[in-house]
Amino acid sequence: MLKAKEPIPTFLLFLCVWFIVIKSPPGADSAQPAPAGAGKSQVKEAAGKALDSAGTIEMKTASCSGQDLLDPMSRYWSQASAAVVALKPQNIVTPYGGGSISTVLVKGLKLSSGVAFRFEWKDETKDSDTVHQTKFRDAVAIEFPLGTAGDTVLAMGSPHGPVNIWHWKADWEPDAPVMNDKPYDRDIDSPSIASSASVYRRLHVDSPREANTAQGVGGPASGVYNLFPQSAHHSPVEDLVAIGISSVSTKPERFQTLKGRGVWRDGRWHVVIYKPLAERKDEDCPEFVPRSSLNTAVAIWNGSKQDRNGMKSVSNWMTLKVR
Amino acid sequence: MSRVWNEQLKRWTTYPYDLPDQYDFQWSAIFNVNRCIACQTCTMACKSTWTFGKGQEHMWWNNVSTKPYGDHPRGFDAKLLSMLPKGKTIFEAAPEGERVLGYIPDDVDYDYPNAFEDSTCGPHIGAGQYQEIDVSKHKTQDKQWFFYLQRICNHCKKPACLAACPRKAIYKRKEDGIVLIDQERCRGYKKCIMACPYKKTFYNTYTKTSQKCIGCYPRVEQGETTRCIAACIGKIRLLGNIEDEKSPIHYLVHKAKVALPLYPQFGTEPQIYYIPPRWVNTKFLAMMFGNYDEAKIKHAVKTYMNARHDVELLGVLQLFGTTQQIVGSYEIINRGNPKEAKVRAFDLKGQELFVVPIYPKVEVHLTRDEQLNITDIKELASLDIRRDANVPWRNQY
Repeated sequence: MLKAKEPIPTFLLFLCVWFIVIKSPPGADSAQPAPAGAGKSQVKEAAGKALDSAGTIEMKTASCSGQDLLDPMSRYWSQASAAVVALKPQNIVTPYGGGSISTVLVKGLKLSSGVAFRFEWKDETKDSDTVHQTKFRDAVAIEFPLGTAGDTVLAMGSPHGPVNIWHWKADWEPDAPVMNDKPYDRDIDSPSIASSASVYRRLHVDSPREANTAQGVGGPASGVYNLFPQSAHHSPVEDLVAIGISSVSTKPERFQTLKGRGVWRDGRWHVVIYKPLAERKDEDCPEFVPRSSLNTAVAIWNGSKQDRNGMKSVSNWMTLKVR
Repeated sequence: MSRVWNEQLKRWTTYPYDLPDQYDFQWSAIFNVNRCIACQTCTMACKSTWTFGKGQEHMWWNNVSTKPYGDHPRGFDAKLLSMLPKGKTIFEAAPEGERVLGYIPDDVDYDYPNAFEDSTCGPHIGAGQYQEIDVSKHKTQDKQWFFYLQRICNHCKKPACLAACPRKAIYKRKEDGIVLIDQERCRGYKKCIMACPYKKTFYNTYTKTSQKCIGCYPRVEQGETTRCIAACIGKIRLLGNIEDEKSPIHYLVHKAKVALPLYPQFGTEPQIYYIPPRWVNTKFLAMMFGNYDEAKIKHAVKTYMNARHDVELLGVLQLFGTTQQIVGSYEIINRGNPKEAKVRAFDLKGQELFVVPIYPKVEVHLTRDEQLNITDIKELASLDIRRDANVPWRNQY
């Protein structure tokens, strides 16, 4: 029974708030013009379809090129069905962390030339600066078990059940801040353009010409196979394999074929990872056979919360249904 | 977590991995603080050898700072000491979800490596006043004091950087105990920078990987000392294998007990040992080198000040900076006869390196100062010339 004194019943008020918050298209108040070919924000399509930790992602077949899908705002992405994946802090292995990102919207599309995934999540800060001491990157990764074992360990696999990880990094995007790429000058003291050069404004920093004659462009790490010291990354996505905690390793350079693009707009990341189907057989990669399903999991790092390594927000295993 | 024995704290502590209590060879060094003049030759020798590249501008694998206020990165020790509960190591005090207690310094903390250079500590001395120094006793602690602290990576027996690395990219070499970061596996998580209590791992802002002092392992593999030790013009440093009972390092640390580790309370068993400065407040030194035990400092300073009556200690002190080879062992010749006493040094393979007298012949040439009308140095000391404005000697300078 409702109390007669209440002018508006509580549940009606709640309904109104729900309508305003959920049903309003996100990004509608944005002053920024959408780029050519950009569709509406795709959160709306997924509303109400939130998955729990054991959810399902459907991967439909699309008829467009991989290049079309590399734009996260492309209209082609609206044909994909979306899943809202719940994330939780990683607390299996020290260092613990994460938890600041609670959900991510995941879409998958299959092309004749490859497969693509799109991730969208709320993050008020764009963290692509890994030049400063206390700054860390935003990142997203999708994990697949390799082989047929149905019980692959979620946390980085195991020697008997390895995993393949596709890892997008905000600081590997072409517009991310870099160190010393412009000569040292007093303008650097202005924090507003800290992105253009040195962090250590009070110290002497060699100009690029001087520095390059010194110890090699990348220092000691440039003499070994490590993608991090590369001054310009050919892709913001790294292809990795792991056989357990602490074991994650970059695949050899010939298998680094992943492409990607991340756009941060209005407090949200929109990231696409595209895997071209290799002519050369890469055994450390899952097969996306039509009418089959495989396990997958997602992790997100929030740089402004000092997320890195195991400090991340993670999903449980989910089912990826390839149509 | 494993239970491990900490030899410096003389108690069982915890550590994320099982590590041997002893190595066949543990890279270790003695720094004699009393002799350092902060010329920074060591610093530049290191910088020009290892860290002159892009992204390494803020890295000082070797630095010499003025204590008590200075250090690089700024205030690293005061900050960690304020975070660390007394009686716990940084492993035992690790917060939930972490393996080690620590913090990452800010960019600005790396900006001023020479901050507080030559700044003294102690009661205020007004204009026109001077500090009294009793030169006759040779052992006084000054009211106003500072000292130079020489720091490189301690190549700890329980390395915090190694413990904290989630990728196991850091390892301690079995053959010499040197701690290294695998540049192929490092992904720049900065966990080692957070964990190292001495802040001697550095983030390379260009390669996005972390780097640290490599103990000059290419030189050590050839039986040579590190660049910082070889370049030291004050002859304050000595490198060796502390696990070998014949080594001068073992003698100074375990037998004479004249050299003490830096901040042993952190629990990493650091392998640089310092002969503490004789003129500095004992309580302060106990916090830095004695795990708050003043008796250790008093013993070390007293033993060092008495070196001229201790033929073995004085002999070992002659080994500092005399060769670029690592001294593996030594012997004292004519121990009973000070005039003829010598020390003979051997390299790591047992080959003789050199022989030097322990009590070098000293000749004192007295000159007469006609203006002051004095000849003897004692006479000079007895004159309170500093307060007498009418002494003509003052006007010459």
